[in-house]
Amino acid sequence: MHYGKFANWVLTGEYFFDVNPPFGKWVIAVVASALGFDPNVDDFEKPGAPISSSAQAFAGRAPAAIFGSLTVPVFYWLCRKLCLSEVSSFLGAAFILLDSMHIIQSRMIMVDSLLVFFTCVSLLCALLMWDAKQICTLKGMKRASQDVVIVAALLVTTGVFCGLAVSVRWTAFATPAVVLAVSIFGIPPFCLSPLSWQEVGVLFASMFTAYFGSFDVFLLTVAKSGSGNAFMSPEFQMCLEGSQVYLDAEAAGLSTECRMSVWARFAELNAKVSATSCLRQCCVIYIVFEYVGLLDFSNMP
Amino acid sequence: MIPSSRNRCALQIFSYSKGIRGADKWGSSWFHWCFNWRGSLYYRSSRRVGGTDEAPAKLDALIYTLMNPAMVVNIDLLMALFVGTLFYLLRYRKATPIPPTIATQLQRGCVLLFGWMGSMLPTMVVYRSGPIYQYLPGLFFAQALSALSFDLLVPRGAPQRVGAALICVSLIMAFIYWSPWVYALELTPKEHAARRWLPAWD
Repeated sequence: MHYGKFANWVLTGEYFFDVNPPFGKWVIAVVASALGFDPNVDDFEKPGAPISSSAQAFAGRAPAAIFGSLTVPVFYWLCRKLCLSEVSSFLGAAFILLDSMHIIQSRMIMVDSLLVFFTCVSLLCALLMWDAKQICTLKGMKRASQDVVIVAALLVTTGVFCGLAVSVRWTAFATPAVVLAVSIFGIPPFCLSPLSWQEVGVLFASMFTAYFGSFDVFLLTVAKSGSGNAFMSPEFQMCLEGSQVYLDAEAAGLSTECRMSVWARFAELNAKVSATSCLRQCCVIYIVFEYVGLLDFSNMP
Repeated sequence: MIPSSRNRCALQIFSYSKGIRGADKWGSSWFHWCFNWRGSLYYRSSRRVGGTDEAPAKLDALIYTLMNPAMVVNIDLLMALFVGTLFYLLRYRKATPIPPTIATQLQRGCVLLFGWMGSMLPTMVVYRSGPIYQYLPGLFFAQALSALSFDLLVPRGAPQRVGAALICVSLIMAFIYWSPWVYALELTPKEHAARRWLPAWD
């Protein structure tokens, strides 16, 4: 029940900080809420502690189970798009279906089954996109506008799912990296010729927009003071309603307006996530950045 | 000019941090993940069901995150066969020209192989170790590559059906055997110990 308390905080709007990006926790919270999860009942402080009711446990665990279950047919479809036979594709899907670790992660309130799902879908969309692009290229001047629209739609969809996969956990970065490498260099047999720079731009922009958008949605959702205040700068905390910085300014009769743009807050949150994730190995980089002022986001437009 | 005290501080922290490995009790090195060397204990409970005070009989329930051992063996074997086949066909490509269909599948497999290696890169270079569920992004590429390797090496038709059936039977049997660690089913300590096939599965 590891992420249960994160789901509580998302639904109560309290800001929290975690070493992983927030999208996976946000999805778990939203889907669980739709299934009747109540954030005010269980505090999830102690892993393994009993849940108040079976309905609460079901609602909390259902999101991971749904995405874990959907991964199996999506993976079968992906294997078929890799031109594997039905039997080989079935075997590939069986690897996921009967993997104990995948099943355990799908039975917990954790984001790993979402990570695998989005990774799988993003690679599948990329395969569909490259196929559609090849059809367009082969048709040449005879291609219909519908073909171009399909390629554009698949470009955006691929980018979005790649961005969302990374915004669950950064360890999913290999899939967008593979998609971009194949698209930029035109690696056969996926992509007979490199995508144009406009198409690569659309792909990258979609990835970034999805990644940035997930943080934006998270910051809009958790706008109140919470356990994550202390990790953030005073300017950031001013944007959290009820934080000590906010209350002090209010008591002093000063403006409590949030002066940090969403870009600046996105940048600071990402910097903190990366610094905390890599703290043991890369803390010298953090110190250097802080020293030269690269981590001062208060003046960002 | 950077103050020397800051320099000394940064150097001290760097030299301290470069040797640090993960503090996670259930962490294992990235290369251990490929062999299912160590799992992660999520939950444990114990219930006394009789016996004496000196030798109480009890039933334990665990949730121990581990990949399906049969799946790991099959995937590692299929990936090794793919890499071996790739080396062999490339090495002797002049003597034995590679048919276009096989070359196409080898190219797909190489992309998946690079995806697998790329997934492991953050852990190889930065984190050095972690709990086994961090292998999931790499495992996705490994599973796809294994399915491709199976399709490449086993002729389509009856041989593939038989081969896939045998592998699926091994997956099902292994899953059933270790399912108490998935669903927290109660077993005696002896039965749990019988399932610890590797020393680090504690």
